[in-house]
Amino acid sequence: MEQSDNDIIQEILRGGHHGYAILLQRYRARVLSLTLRMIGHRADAEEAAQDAFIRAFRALRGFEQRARFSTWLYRIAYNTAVTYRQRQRMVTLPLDEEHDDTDAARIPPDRNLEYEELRKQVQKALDHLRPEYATLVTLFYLQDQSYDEIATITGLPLGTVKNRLHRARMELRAYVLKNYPSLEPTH
Amino acid sequence: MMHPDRNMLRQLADGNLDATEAHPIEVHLASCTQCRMIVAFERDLVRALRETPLPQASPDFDPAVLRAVSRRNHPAATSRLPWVKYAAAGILISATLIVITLAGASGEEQSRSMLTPVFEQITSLIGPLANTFASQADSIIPTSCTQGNEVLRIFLLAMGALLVLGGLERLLLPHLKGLNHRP
Repeated sequence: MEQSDNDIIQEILRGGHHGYAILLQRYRARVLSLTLRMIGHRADAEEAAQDAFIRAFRALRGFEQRARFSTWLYRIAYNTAVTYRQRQRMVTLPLDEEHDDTDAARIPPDRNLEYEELRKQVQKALDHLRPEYATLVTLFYLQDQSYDEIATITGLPLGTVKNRLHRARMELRAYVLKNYPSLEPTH
Repeated sequence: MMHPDRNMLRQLADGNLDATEAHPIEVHLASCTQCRMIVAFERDLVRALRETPLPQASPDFDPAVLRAVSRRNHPAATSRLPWVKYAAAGILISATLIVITLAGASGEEQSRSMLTPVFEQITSLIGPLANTFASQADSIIPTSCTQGNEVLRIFLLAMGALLVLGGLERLLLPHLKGLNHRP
């Protein structure tokens, strides 16, 4: 049976050294996906993710297990990424230049849309989203965080979280539907 | 044909409608290809979002973190060696007190040396502080107790100060931690 996050943390706090490698393996990609969405630059995002893991380790004694470990960790990662973004004054470049939806790339309207194609379109749409929307989408759909947990992580009011997630999904849908007008309702 | 509101179709796709709200829409879907397509699209959209591939970290990611998270920085270690910070504080306090005392004693009791002008300068700056310290130190630990050994007297005073600091930390730290350590 897989060891729970809290069991691993207790082991670390008793002086263990191997548990953190398991937590790293468990959350590395998720934390990186969050920092990457927020910072937009691969090397900086990776550095911010590493920094977040180091900060989390040093602060482990303060983790009171009132929230899930993942929520607590994402909050540290979110704050670290905010600091990186402010420090480096990064301008997030649109990621769509190399795969702009030219006519050649357009999928012919087809109701029997292949799911794989839709998935590719959703990835492109996600890259087009502004970072604050993409961050919330990442937390909600990829990291399985609830509205309340996202509010805790980002420090945003609950209503703002819901509103931005709704708008983000509208934008994603609009982007994808540009390529599939047949899905637009005629009623 | 009257179609359901688009938002209701989305809510159905997300599973946010209860049975009484969902039933009439499902009846409609049975006979409306277009609305079925819309619901299928919304479900696929969420599924595609959930299946977004996660980025791969570079091979050095874990080793770099684990190197930084060494035994020295272990969260369990912070409570193991509390004497280190007290020893450092003790040395600092003792050094400060010795400088103040020597500065207070310069001029009259010390023979002139290269350092005498420095002591005189310090005396003029912190003379009142040194006198206050000397009188307070006399009332706390009289010179007779240490048989005239000034360094021993200063050491004992520094240890007393450390005990007070340690006690204050034990009293205040839990409250400070409670304020800072939110998830």
